[in-house]
Order: sequence, then C-alpha cells, then structure tokens
Amino acid sequence: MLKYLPLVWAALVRRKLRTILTLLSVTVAFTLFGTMMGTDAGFRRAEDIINRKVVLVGARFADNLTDGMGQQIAAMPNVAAVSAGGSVFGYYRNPKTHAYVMMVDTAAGWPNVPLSPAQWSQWQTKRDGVFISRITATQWGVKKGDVFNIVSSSIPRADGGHAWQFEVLDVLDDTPYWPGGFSFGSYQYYKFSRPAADQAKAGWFQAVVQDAADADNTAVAIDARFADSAIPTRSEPEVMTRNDAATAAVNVAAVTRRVALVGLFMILLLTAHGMAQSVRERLSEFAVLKTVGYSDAGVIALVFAEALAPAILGAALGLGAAALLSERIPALLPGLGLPEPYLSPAVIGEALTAAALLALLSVVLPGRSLKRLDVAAILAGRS
Amino acid sequence: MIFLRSCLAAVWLNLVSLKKRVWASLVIVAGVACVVAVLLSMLSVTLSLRHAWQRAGSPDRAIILAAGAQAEGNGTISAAQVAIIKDGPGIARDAKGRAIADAEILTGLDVRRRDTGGHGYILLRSFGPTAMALRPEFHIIAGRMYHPGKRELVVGAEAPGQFLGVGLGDKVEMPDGPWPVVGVFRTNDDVVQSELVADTDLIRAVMRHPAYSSVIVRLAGENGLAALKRAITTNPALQVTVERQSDYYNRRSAEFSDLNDKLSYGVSLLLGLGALLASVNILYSAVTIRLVEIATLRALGFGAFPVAFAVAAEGLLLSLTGGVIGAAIAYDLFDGVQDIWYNNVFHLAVSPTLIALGLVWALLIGLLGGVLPAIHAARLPVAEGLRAT
Repeated sequence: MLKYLPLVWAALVRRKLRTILTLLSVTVAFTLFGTMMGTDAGFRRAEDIINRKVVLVGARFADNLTDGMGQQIAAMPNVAAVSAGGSVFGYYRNPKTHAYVMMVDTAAGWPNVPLSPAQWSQWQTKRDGVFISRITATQWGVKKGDVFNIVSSSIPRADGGHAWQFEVLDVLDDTPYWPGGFSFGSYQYYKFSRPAADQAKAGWFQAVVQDAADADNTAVAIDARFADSAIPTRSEPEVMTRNDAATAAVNVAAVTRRVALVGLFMILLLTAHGMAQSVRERLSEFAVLKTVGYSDAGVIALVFAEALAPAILGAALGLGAAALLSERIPALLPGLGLPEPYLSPAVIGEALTAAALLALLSVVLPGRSLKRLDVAAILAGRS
Repeated sequence: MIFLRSCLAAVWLNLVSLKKRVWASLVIVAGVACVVAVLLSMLSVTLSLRHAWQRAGSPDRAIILAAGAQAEGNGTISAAQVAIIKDGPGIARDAKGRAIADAEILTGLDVRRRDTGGHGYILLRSFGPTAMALRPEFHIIAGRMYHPGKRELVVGAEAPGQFLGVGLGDKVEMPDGPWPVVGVFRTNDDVVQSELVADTDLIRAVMRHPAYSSVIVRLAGENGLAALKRAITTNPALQVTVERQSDYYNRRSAEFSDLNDKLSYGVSLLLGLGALLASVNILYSAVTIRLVEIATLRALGFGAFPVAFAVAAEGLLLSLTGGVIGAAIAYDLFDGVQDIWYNNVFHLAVSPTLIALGLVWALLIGLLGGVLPAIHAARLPVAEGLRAT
C-alpha cells in the first residue's frame, strides 16, 4: 500500500491549482456542515441536560402569582422545593442592548443555576449583586466589580424610578444549560425594590419535584389546584418550556438550516464531479499504470486515495473553521437563542463519513471507464 | 466588427460543444441553482417578516409608550396620563370634535400552536372607541365586529392558520370564562393581522390590567407630530415618549432583521463560495478537454480575447441558467407560504427585487468562476495544444 503514496502525492502536487480548488471547496462545505449540524447537536445537548425535576409555574393570564400560592404548591405531593422567580428586563446604556437578569431565591429551589454555596451566600451581604456569564458580560461590556443600571419600564419600583442598579459579583464560564449566556440576581433584592403592594407578588414559581418521571402529572395537578381560583396557573416541566421556546425562536433558522444542508450536499456533488472529471482526463496515465502491471483494483485504489486525501484534509480544515466560528456564534447572533454549535463525536463522525462518501463518489462516477480501460486504444491515442 | 464577430463565433462554437460536456455543465447549473434558492428562501423569510412589521405602521399615526419602554407591552400608561395625552395638540379630531386617539392594551394569551402542538402565545390587542377612524385599514371579512362591552373577540385572518382554537366560532379561554370569536378581520397584511382584538374597557377589567400599553393617535397634518411631541415632553405629569408609528415599526423590525440578515448572508456566502470554487474547477477541466479545439481556433486566427471571452461567457450563461432555476425553485416552494416567528404570522414573498438579487449573485459567481479558466484558455500555447490528444 505504501508504494502508492508517492504516486498519490505526485498526482496531487502536479495539478496544484486543481488540488487547491478541490481542497478549498471541500473545506467550505464542511465549515457549513460543522456549524449547521453542530447547531443541531447544540440544541439536542441543551435539551438533554435540562433538569427533569424542574417544573415552571406561571400565571395563565397576564397576572402576578402570590407568595401564598407558592406555599400551597410546596405542600403538594411530589413537590420537594418551591422558589419564587422574577425577571428584570430592559436595556443597558443603549436601548438596543437588551438586558435581562433572572432573579432567583434559594439554592434548593434552583438546581439549574450554576452557582456554588459560597456564591449563593454572597447575596446575603450584597443584595444587588449579579453573577453573569462571559457571553453576557461581553454583550453588555461589563466586568467583575462594575456597577451598572438596567433601565426597565416593566416592573414598577418602590422609588418610582426605572433604573435597577446591579454590581457584577463575578463573571462565570458559560454553560450549555443557558445557551446565549446568563445573568442571575437575588430575588430578595427584586422583591424589596418593588412597591409594598407588589412585594407579595412573584413573577413565577419554580417547583422541584422528587420524582422526575412524575413531573408532567405534578404540573397538571398544580394547574388543577388553581383552575377555579382568581389566578389560574400554567405549569410545565422546564424541558417542555425550553422546547416551545426553541421552536418559536428559531423556527426560521431551522427551516433555513434544512435548506442549507441540501445546498451543502450540492457543493459536495460539485466537488465530486470535479474530481471525477480530473480522473477522466488522466485515463491515459492509468492506462500506462496498467501496462506496467498494476491491477484494476490497484488503479482504482490509487484514484480513491487521490480523492480521499483532499476530502479528509478538507473535512478536517472545515471542521476546524467551524469550531473557531462556533465560539463566536452566540455573540455574533445574540437574541436568536442559538446555542453554541457543538462538534460532538457524532457530528465529526458524520463529517468524516461524508468525506469518505465524497471520495467514493468521485471514483464511482468515472468507474466504468476506469474498469473497462481499453489500454491499447488509449495508449494509441484513439480513445 | 470583425473582433465582435469572432467573439460571437467563439462563444457559438463553445456552446455547440456543450453537448459533449453536458454533465459537467449541469453540475454548475445545479450548484448555482442551489445557492440562489437558499439565498432567496432565507431572505424571503426575513424580508417578509420585516415588511409585515413595517406595513403595520402608518406615518399618519403616532404611538405613545411609557418612558423607557422600547416596545408596546413593556411599561404602562395610566388612565390619568391617557386623558392628558388625548387633550394634547397635534391630534386629528372627528366630526364631533373627539380626539382620534385610543389607549390600547397588548397582552399575550396562551394557545396551542398548530405546527408543534406546543404552547405558543397569540397577542391580544384591545381597541378603543375611535379604533375605526384610527385604523382605516381594518375591516371585517367574515362574521361581524364584536359589540363593545360584550365578551367577544375578533381574530386576524393570519392567526387561525398557525394557532389552534382561535378561528371563527371557536371559544377562547379568558380569565372569566370562554369568549366566542365572532369575526375575522384583515388589516394591511401586517403583524396586527395575527392578533386577537377585543374591547379595551372590558379587557382592562377582565385581565385586571391597571393601565394601558400604548396610546395610538391620528396626527393632524404636517406639524402634528412636532406639536404633540412638544406638548408631551414639556408636561411633567407625563412620563412617556412619542414616535411616528411608521418609525416605531421600522425600528422594532430592524432589531431582529439585522440578526436574521447576518445569518442568511453568512450561510449564502459560504454556499456561494463553495459553488464558485467548484465551478472554477469544472470550467478548468472544460478548457483542458477542449485543448485541441481551442488551439485549432487560435491557429485559424482567432485572437486570445475571443477565446477567453467564450470561456467566460459559457460560465456566465451556465450560472445565470442556474440562477433562474434557483429563483424559480425558491418562488415555487416559498412564495405565498405562511410562516410564524414567535407570535407573528405572515406570508412569505419571493419578490421581483429578491429574484433580481438572486440573479446578481448568479452572475457574480459566473463572472468570478469564469475569469481564471478564461485567462488559462487564452494563454494556452497553440503548438502544444495542437499536438495534445
């Protein structure tokens, strides 16, 4: 097998431009492949890691839940912990910079918040503190120790103003659980900044159930409990809420992703055709090889190796480019809720398979003429 | 003249020999078709959505929001503030001297989505007493208008296509029980056409809304907005901002369409680059295959330019054909199809402008793809070419 290597190399180097063109188009195709399939994998990973014990409880109609409801939910079967949640949303500095801080209460009620006990306890002394992720810190342009205001017109404040002041306690690593970044503040700060009449109102509740398998039924039971009350609820396991949100936000992106995949395979076809063409042009060379004693299989293996080299190299380069691009996608396209593309082993495997298929295709296309090589005719220039 | 004729003759000879290279040519056509189809389908989504937003805004109307609220639905305006605003200057008045201005409430209702069966939100907008004078584009196309003060809803024509249980005759669950949908309305094929509409006073009471989301006013004449703005911004009792309604919808739609455009162009650029590289490759081999033919042409006295021109023209023609096919595919698949983005339901349009853009992309790919192979063809040494087999 090794004796073929110099031949393969020579063939590739002799047609530098063609080899480079092929390599580049394969690279481009796999850059697309990596980001597209990676985004899909990113979505799936985000769904897989959602805590199945978390049930979100909100008001069925535009209304506020009350603290009392939280206590009632906590007393229901299968509910281990209940915590109130709130949100401060508005903008930071520029109306175009949307800012959102999720206000969370107790560690037991928020297993899905990536904070250590030490970090949770920091809020006891710094109520207006926030923990934000790197992506969010970059979007807002803030760093650890910064004090900043979020202008929010949606949640009335006791002081009558619109400015919510926060201090960045720390900038943390992003987690796939919160694609597109996160920011967490203290619910106690949220609660006591609101007018006295609003302080007993919660934005929503997060219930943690004991048995994750029964989370759906618990959500139904919670809604039934409040169905005929003044404030009916709408409850759902977090994983379902995430699914709804994902389809609502990126429905368009999902459609285009499918379309783009079709386009991608078109590029691969184009490339395969280009490679096949170069094989046809060199039939006389293969005739020479056969004359000097190469077998049919040997010639075909040689052609396959020649196609495989740029295909695999291009796939590797393309996936590398996709990896570089991936890190920037949440920051480049904020607000689309796209997760960072995840180049999982499965995606890499698919890419390499596609590369091998590409090489195979470029052998199969001119295969017939290769197999039935009329050596004498070709050498005599009569083909 | 001779120069021109030799150019045309070279192109003609080139095209005649296309029959021999039919597969290679088809591959270029298909590749470019794909690029153009992807570009147009992606852009048709973002542009159609943006247009649906923009059509909702009228330069004759102004929207007043709570200070700091960037969007209708964030922040509230109290009834007392509404009364002051309605008395302000710059607002058109009807025959009875009433200001053509309404406080509206915009809120969400939980409904099932037709496509996924999951939860979705439909917007519920409340209309005030002057709504018909304020929104002349609003008209009922089926059923009837709700009776003010009655627990009834009318639905925008787009909504039932994407949301379950909001069609004519359906009952929508409200805090005080089910309300019937008694009519279907059209506006300007805009985003309002995917909303539910009911009476303001009733919505405010039933939804326990303490205040309003916005005040929409019809402006009086050219200087209406300036007069209204001056009065509103100098009144310390009002913490509101006023904006021409068309500017408002323009600004809001730019927020998402900038992002979507980045995505569409990013993907299309990569695809386009891929198709470009591949077609350069294929045109190169087209030149190599026709080595003898090209050398013969040169020997017959054709200049270098006509030969190069013919190669470039071939690339251009092939990718333009691909562009037309791609545009046709995008048009066939997406034009007129209903799509949904959060709570906005809208129809996709593959407009003539978009198609022209797609063809420009095809032309560019053809031009760039043909240049290098054309130069290569022009530089082929004649003698060597004639000896080649």
